[in-house]
Amino acid sequence: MDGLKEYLTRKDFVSSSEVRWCPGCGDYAVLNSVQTVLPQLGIPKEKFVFVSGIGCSSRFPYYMDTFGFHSIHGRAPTIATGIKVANPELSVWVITGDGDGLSIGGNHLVHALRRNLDMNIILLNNRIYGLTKGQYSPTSVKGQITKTSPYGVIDEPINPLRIALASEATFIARALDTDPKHMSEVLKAGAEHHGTSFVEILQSCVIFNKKAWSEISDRSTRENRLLYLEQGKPLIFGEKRNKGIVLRGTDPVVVTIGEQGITKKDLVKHDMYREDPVYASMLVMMDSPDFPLPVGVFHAVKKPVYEDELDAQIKEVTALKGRRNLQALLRGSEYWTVSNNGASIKRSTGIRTLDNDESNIMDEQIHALLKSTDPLTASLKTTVGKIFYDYDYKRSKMLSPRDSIASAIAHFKAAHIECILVGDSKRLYGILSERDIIQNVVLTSIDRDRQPISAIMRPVYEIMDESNSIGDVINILSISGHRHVPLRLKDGGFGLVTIRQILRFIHDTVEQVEKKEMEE
Amino acid sequence: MAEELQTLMEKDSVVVRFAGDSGDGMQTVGELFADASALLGDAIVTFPDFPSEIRAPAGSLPGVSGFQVHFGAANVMTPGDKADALVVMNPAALKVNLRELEPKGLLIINTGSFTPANLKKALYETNPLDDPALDEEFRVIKVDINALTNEALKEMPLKPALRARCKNFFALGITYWVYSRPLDLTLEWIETKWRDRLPLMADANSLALKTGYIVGENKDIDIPQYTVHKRMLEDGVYRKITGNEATALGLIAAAENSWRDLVLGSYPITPATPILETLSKHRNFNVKTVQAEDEIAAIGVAIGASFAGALAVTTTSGPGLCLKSEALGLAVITELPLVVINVQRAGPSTGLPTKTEQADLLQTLYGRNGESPVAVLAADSPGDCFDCAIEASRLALKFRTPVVMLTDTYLANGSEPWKIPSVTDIPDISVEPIRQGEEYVPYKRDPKTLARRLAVPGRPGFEHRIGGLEKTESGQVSYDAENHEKMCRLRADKVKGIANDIPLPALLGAPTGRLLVIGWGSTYGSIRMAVERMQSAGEAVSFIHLRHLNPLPHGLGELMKQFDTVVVPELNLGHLSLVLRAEFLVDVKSINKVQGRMFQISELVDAFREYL
Repeated sequence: MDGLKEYLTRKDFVSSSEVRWCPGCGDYAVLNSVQTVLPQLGIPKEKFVFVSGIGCSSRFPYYMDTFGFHSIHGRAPTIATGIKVANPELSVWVITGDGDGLSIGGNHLVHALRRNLDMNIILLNNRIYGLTKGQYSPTSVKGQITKTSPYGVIDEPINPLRIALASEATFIARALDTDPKHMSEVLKAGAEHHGTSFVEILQSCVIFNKKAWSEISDRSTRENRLLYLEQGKPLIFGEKRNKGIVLRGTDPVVVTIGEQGITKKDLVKHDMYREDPVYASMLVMMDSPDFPLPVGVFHAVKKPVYEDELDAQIKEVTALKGRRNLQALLRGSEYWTVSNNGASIKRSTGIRTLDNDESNIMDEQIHALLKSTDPLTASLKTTVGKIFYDYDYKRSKMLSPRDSIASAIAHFKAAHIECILVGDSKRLYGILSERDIIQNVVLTSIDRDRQPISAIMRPVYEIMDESNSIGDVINILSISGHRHVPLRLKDGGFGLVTIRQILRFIHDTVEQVEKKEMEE
Repeated sequence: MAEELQTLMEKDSVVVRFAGDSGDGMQTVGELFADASALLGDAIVTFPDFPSEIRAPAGSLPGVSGFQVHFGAANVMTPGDKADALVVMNPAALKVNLRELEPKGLLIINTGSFTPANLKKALYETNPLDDPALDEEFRVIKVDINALTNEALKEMPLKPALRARCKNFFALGITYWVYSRPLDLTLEWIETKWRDRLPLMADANSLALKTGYIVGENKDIDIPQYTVHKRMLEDGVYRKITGNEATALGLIAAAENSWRDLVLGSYPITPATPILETLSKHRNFNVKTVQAEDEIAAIGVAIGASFAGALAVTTTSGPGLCLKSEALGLAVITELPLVVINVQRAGPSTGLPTKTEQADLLQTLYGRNGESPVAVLAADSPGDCFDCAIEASRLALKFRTPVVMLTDTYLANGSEPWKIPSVTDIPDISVEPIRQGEEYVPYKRDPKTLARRLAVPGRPGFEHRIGGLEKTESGQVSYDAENHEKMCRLRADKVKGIANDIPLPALLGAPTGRLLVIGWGSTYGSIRMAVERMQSAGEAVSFIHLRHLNPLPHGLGELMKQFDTVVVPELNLGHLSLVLRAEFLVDVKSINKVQGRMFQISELVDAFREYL
């Protein structure tokens, strides 16, 4: 919770931009709900990013005092995907509409949902193109009169939640602009879902489609036309709370409690956590005039999240292939050296182990190792960050490469360390160990007052960061022949991972494994 | 035989072309021949020439696959004009490739495949081997490679179909003898490829290769032998690299040296796909590749990643760039760093998807709505794609602008020996991140570069909104007429100002005179070899090859005015010449070719001489 103020309020999310939706538009209610929900999530304000495409609803990010990106028609899910992939720590929200999300951007919506990044998509459905002043949209009903369908719409409308379900969405919900309290609950549940949440919000367009949802927004008929889904509760609706849904075979049927011996116990109980989509599919298909329209959370299941899987691949491949040896990568596995003005040509072999990317065999080995369950091998995937502070860690002061050797020796004495880092604020140039001092200073007649550290330091083979694995460190120690590997700390400082730390970690792991085996 | 030896020794280099059915393994033997030559210290340039169908009907004309290798001295910069030697595995290959062979060139024919059925598939009415003109025009070597391979492998418990698959190595063996290439590298390659999985194939292919070599020595068949061997590469560590590989490595190096993660959004498209394939292997460099659902999603992912602080890249070819153009405009108006790589292919529409062309230049420069300037640069050789990718990234990050890097099919698939750079020589292209507590005005600019400041999501106190609607300096949406003009001019001036950050390329030849040749992109090797040939004959021609196409480097206009004639050879119908005419009011002449093929050196020499 670094950077989180003691508490955030709705006001923290209100931007200075003047809201320019038509008076009475449902978008106001959605904006208000979102601004109410965000402070409840325990996420620092700077982590929120709102992304939109084109349409009335897509002006949304301008009215939120968060990071925001108002992009181009239909493409918001792609931009949100890029943001989340680049920085998985962000809380990413896509605001779209029935035209933006289901027509021009239909393809992207499908693929964003199937990838299941941990983000939120809110689709405001008013069954009309509002910003272009009243043409029919993919959710406009058959026969609807609009500016481009003066004789009635002949296109079959599509159901956003059915699309979502068919796209393997892991969280599917629906809410109404006219019931802000319920909408806030649904949005909060969506935000807390790990994976992509998809929430359809039904609203009318006060200018071009006033009656978009009149049968459910009209207070006189609303209670009989809406079915509020509550986890674990029977599917009950109606003004008198006496109507419900039972299953006859595989078909849902509307019944009245008290008639034909029906009791509450006969009704279907809502279970949004059902893994298979059959039940959610039944709910998604329910619509007037035969059924009430369900609102609430339809479907909430756990599936792997894209950025988690990507991160896991990065860690696993890094643990086994070694990390960021750019020189080895550029060299590849097949290279040759021309020397003596072209007279001598030497072919190099035997470096296939490090970064030979062409080799399928290597990849197969990697996969075999990835599946390995040997506890010691598995422990090598532990991140350096996790163990660094546990084992007598060393932060290192940075000396400039231009400092004298004498000053380095003084630092060794004062700090009781065996290795120091050489660099400036921008770059690390090298490391200097006691061994270097012995070999290059003690055993030679070098002028330690005049000669700079750069004369005797050894170049940095590799810089690790806290997310690197122990396997990486061992890899680097073995190929570099060094006994220390520089580590970039999360706070921006530098530390050194020593061979001694690694040995102690392995020792402890082996001890634990043995202990466990004895217990078993 | 001594006669040929002499004539070839006078040449600095030799062009060998392998041609057969697309199932015959011609790409494999071509690559191996190039590898063997590279390790002798020869300069090499290769060019695979394959059909767009994965497997057209065997023996048919559309199914012919070729691979050309040019090897020898250091000034080998193209895959060569016509072949000095052509190896054909069937009648269709002969029909398609014969016009690519020099008069009196060496023609090695696999006579075993010249069956009536195959002749019919190649649409030959009579057997071309019976035509005496063939022997008069070329030095023809007739070898029944099918029968000899089968004979050599008869002791092996292999099905005849598998024995037949070894004939490409037999043919390779013959060419190794002809050009005195060592077998060891290829034998080792065979071992690595087959020993563990199919040990019998390892034995069979090795034997086929060795037997082919021995057949060359066998005096029963009169095959000439040449000793073309010139070590000309400067000292250093080398590898063989294609343009697509070099592009991928350049992007990784750029990410490393800008201290950012690389995020690639891409959709498979010929000939750009290998960049996505290569980058997806390098997760250990924190490379995040997203194979998107379409070209638009691919650039969308990259734009989002750029907003979030990554080095953001999207790779494509011409048809994909069409689809990305609206999003590219979004990156222009939001002023986000973005690298777009367009591996050009012959268009319009699907065109010739596996052939090369440079006809996307005008689309890249102008193909968007509104005032929408982007920086454009082009690579000039496979290895140069590495440096070009780093330069594209540097400009994108420094000037907060989309940069389009142009390569093409020829660079993408062609390979050459690449002197591996030392990582310490690769420039640091990082940009200063915003400081905590700094006052943030989203579109406030650095007075020198006109680049705006970027604040990535996650930095507390810097919350702001960007988007496709015009903004004021403070980031508010604005429909104000004067503000729009001001912002359009600022964005244009920013891109123009990149000219202050780039050098005028070196001029080859005198700074004034009769003829200046201006080139760009993959035609570098052909133009340079043509110009050098003319200069050594004492002809007054100078040559400059452009890396940056928008903005153009300072000094180019002045240089053009020092010459009587300026000529631009390009593989399109006159794109750069149009730009140079408009920009500098010089009557630039244009040399054009749109055959899906590279310029030949001789055709350029002839075309240049028209202006002398």
